[in-house]
Amino acid sequence: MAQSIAVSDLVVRYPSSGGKYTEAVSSLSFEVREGEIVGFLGPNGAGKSSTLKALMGFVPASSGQCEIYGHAAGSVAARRVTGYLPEVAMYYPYLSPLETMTFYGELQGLRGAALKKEAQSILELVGLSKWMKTPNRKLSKGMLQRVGIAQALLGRPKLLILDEVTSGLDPVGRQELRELLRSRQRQGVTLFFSSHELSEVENLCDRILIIDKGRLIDERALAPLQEELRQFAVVYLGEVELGDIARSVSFRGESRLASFDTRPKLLEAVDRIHSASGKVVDLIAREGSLETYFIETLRRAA
Amino acid sequence: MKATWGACAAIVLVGVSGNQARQLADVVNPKVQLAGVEAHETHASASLLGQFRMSAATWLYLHADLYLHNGVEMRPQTSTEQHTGQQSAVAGTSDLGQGEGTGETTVIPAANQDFRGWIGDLERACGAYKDMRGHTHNPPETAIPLFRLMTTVDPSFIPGWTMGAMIVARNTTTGPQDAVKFLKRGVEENPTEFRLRYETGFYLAAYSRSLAQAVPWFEEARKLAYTRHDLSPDESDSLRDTYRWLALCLRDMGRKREQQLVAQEGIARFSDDPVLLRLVRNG
Amino acid sequence: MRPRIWITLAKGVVTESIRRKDVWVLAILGVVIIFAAAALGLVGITGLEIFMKDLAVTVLGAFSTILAVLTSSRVFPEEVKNRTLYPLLARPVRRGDLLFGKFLGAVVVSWAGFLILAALVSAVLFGLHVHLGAIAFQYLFVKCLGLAVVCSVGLGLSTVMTPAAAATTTFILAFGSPMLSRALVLTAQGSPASLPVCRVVEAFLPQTHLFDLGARLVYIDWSPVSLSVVGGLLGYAVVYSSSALFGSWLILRRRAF
Repeated sequence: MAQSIAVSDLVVRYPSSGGKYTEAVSSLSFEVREGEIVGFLGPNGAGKSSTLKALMGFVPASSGQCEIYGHAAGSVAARRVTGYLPEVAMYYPYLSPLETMTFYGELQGLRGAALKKEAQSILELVGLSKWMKTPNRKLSKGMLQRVGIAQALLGRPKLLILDEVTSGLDPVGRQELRELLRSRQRQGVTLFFSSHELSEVENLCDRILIIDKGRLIDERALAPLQEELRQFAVVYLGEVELGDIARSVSFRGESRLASFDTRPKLLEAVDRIHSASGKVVDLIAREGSLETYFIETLRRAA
Repeated sequence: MKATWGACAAIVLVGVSGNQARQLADVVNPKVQLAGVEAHETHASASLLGQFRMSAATWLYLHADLYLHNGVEMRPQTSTEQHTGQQSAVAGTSDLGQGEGTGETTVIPAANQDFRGWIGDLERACGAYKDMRGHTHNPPETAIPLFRLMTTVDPSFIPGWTMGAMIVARNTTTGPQDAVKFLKRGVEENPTEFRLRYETGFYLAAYSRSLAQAVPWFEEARKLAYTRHDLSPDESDSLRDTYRWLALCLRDMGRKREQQLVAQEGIARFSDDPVLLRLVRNG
Repeated sequence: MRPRIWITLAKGVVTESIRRKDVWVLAILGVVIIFAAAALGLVGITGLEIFMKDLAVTVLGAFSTILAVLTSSRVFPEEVKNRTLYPLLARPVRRGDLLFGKFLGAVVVSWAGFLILAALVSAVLFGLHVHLGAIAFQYLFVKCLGLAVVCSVGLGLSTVMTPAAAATTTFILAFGSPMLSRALVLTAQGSPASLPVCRVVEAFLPQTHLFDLGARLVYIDWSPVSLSVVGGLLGYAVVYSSSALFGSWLILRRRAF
């Protein structure tokens, strides 16, 4: 599979007082494959936005390389295939969403009726059909975020880089956004986004990257991680044979601990323990939380 | 019954005291009389309007010189320019501008004084630039409406009246009479200003030789300035000239005793003035 | 392709200017001019033709410069301040194109404002039987070139300064241009040792006063300037504006946002 994003040894430094530099990103390397949805996680000040800005060419890389579909990050060719949603979505207050889309569309190289049609259909898609001609200054924060998402989708980009994508959206808006992004993924679009909403990340992503203090501290595919985090287990007393359905059985003093891959297997095990006159001492049924994993990962890295 | 009378008395008492109090109100809180002169101290809008009028009149006054030079801007020479005798703009016909003809040059420098090369050439080509050595002026009447406008905009702008009168006086054969008319309007607008009275007397005496008509104007100017000891250099010059002209007019009219009194009063104020001294000594 | 991008960006600046009601300033000014002219008409303007033209040229020069400075010095910093720059930079647009498009927009706004005011003023003067003559067209053309220079300075300074500082500095350079230039001439005359420094400063100063044919328009019997002079002014405007924009681009191309 082709690479959408390739970052190697990226360093981003900002000048600070006294002729010194603050290193926002340090030797960061990662890849995003075509068609993936990758969540870019990290605490505040970890370097997420700086990385995204380096990918868009807003800040120059102090060293290292960033490429988007083989083009240098920030180059016109790279930006031609990329849709970007900034962290704080602000759009010209004196334009309406439709005019905003037309303006950006023309800069994207779109023209005439095709541009108008695409702009209208995207605005309908993000739920702004009623407010297409309302000046941006009269729109709420959530609506402005929708304008931002809409402009990022203009020109059918192959890669979407979204900074804090769910910011300002209500639960319904988030669900609509999830569906929209999934449908884009089905069309082959790659998604790389940062978010503090870990539930959104769990719902959407194929893979996560966690950075802290400008360094990549973890990179995991989400499905195996969720498997790993999932816990279905029973602690019981008695001679009950569960080897055929349990992933593992171990002894804990007089009692035994059996772990299972799925909830139905756990329930079947409980039935068997009762039928064999065994005694259930404790029952563990947990889907596992990305938030806990995220916090523990940061603690470990610290 | 007593109570009724008591109540009536109380009402009357309150009424009377209220009436007395109302009479005292003007003493306690006097009604503010806004004289036009004081309005600028109490009303921002009046102050602003006044400042605008002064600025507009001054702007027009400064432009009068430009009008006479057909847009060519002049400036005094620097001491270096005076020493090296560079590009002096000697006036051909003018004595309007104070000091003009003795040390002025064009604001846009001449080519031989300009290090800027082709940029300087462009400026001389685009701006209102001429070699002003031995220059003449546009006819003064072109500036008359300007003076009328500036004195209408700010009637208290004295240089507008005096310089305007000078230009009006040169305009036609009836110029001096027109200048006097112009100045009389200025006097109406500025009843306490002695310089305009002096100027009126000056045109009557010097141009029309109407000494009898001129003397009352000089007298009034002298009286108005007599008690003033805060005169500016310009005002001081005007007062000195008032004494000179008044004494000369009285002499020519044969009123020797009055001439002596005026000249002596003038010397008391301007002790080293040769004209006044001669008038006292020689009568 | 690139001209299309420039036009789109310029259209954005013009739309903003119209919707921000900048045009109201012009409208109000126009009404004031008409009323002032009507008042003078009532009093009678015989002999005041030069004054009327002088006033018209002063008003035109001042307000068109103000409009040019305010528009050019805010277009870029406002984008940064309002964070509208990010979606703009995310488009496949070079920073040089962005700069030039914004410059073009500022120039169009200042030219449009100037020409609208000029039309209004001319109509009022015509109504008062004051005629400007053929030199007026030369005045308009040359003034437009000067406004482009002012816009390039305003835009250039706004890439390194806050909008307020850029506007103030551009105002000083635009309105103080004749004084600064003459101060340099006097300095060089008074102290020949300072000549090399004066030459350098002179080369960097925008000579906006060169583009003002107002005095020739107002006063009597000044002839229009020759075509070679107009060509020289055009050349200066192109070279100076291009240099200012190139300098801004050098700063902008590596700037982090």
